[in-house]
Amino acid sequence: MSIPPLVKKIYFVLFLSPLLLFLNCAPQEAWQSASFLSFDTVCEVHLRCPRSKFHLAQEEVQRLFVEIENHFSPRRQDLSSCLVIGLYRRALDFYRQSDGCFDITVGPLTRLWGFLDRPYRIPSPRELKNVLNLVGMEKIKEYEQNLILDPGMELDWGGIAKGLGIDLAYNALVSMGVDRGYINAGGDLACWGKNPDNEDWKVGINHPRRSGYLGILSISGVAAATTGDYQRFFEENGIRYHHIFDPRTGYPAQGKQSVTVIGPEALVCDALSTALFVSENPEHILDKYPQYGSLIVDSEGKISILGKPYSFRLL
Amino acid sequence: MDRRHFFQTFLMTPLVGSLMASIRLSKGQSQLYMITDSPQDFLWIILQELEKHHLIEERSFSFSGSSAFEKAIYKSLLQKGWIYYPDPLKTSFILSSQLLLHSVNPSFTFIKDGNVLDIRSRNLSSLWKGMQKDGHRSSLVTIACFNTKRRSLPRGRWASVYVYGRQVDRLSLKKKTSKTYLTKQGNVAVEAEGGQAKVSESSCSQKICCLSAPASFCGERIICAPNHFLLEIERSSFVDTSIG
Repeated sequence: MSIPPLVKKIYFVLFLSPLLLFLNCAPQEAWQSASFLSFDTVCEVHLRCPRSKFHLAQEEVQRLFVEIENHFSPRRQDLSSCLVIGLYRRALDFYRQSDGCFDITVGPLTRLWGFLDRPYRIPSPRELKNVLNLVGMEKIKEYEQNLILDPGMELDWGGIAKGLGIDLAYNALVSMGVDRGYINAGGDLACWGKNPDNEDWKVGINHPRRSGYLGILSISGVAAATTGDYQRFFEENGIRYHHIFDPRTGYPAQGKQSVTVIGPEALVCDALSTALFVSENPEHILDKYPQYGSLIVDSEGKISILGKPYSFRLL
Repeated sequence: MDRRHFFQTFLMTPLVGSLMASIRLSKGQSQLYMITDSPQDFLWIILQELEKHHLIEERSFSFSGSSAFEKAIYKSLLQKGWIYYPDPLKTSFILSSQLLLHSVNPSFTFIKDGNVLDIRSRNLSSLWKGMQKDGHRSSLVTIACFNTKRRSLPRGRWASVYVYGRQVDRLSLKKKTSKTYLTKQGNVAVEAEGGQAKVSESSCSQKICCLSAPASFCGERIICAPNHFLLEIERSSFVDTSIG
């Protein structure tokens, strides 16, 4: 029995066109980018996902970064917040593992040298000696979910908080189903999945003295962070004074131009890059973190690759 | 060198004024302006002082366009150990010369990050006096443009525009385009052409974005903070992103 044309038309309208409509409206994945200001730097988010999801993803990343800034910026520190206590415990572990080379109590040094509020200045040995009495994580006490600092002590989370922000953002994005992309917060980075060319992400490491790149990392599923003496510094009488202090002496750490650390967690990369920069024996510290590798440029420009090897091409 | 003398010259020389206004100054760029009929006699002395103050990375130079004075400057610098490259991307600075409408007193000054930089040195003081000594006025300005940032970066093909962190547009640098972007605080106008993009107008008060050099190399950015506006030259497939 043949179906009348009118019935065919009705069948099409009722059943097939909604199906076609649904298929056409299925969210299309594409590469999306955003750049915004946070942590006093330009942050980038580059993801492969539907457009509607990207807006939510970007908002979530920005919300997390603002949360981190609110908890850890120099002028706003709530020493009873769970986030702060949690990060303090991680920082204490790095302090112990690095024999004091990583230390969040260098806030008074940062302020003394003028890196918090200008102008930059070189303090006298006497001033440094007085301030060093306020430095040392062993002086912090934890009591009933509160951190207790001695009068005059100040916490500088600059070597670790951004890494925490990157890790939180990465976890949020992955749980939203974004399986390819990177987040770059002014040099602290996490990348996962394949890049638009279906290869590992090509991450250039900026040369510490010249414009251009020192080399290119080829990585995926890991984080990376760089600490360098060219990021914040002033010069006087031909000598460079930068912002990475040796907590033991109160002076800017000597002997290196930059340290890049690569590994599973951005927070660890961030802290280790500072610790290795300060330490005279970086291999000793890195041995305790077997999943992490590093690239060190010393003060002469000589490059050393330590720890777990990651794909790196020198330019 | 005394900046007051430069500004006396500057005010008396309309062409220099419009020349400076047309140059897009931005962070990381520096220029040397020298008014003298014989730049080949004095340029190398000034460059030597700039080297001592670590304002020059490498002893290399190139020329922009061509002028009758190039040959004499070229010979003089080569004799003093400078290296010439035809490709300006490989050099510390690019030289150009221009004739002024009127003759003025010889002078020189250095502009860094948009500000006149006072370099105090005995050699430059003597040079200044030497240039002024015989009272002879000059109608030639020689400009050395130091722009080391770009050397190792490839040229981009696309510019991304972000407002409040969201990408709102993507411009081809090959096509001639003019667009205005509205923000909550006002608007920013962008022009793209000939491989570069620049901010042509902005509602902000300082107009630093308008004075920024046109962006053409991968990763270069022009920011208008009051308008939450960012223009960035997209990177080539050379790298996806960078750290450090």
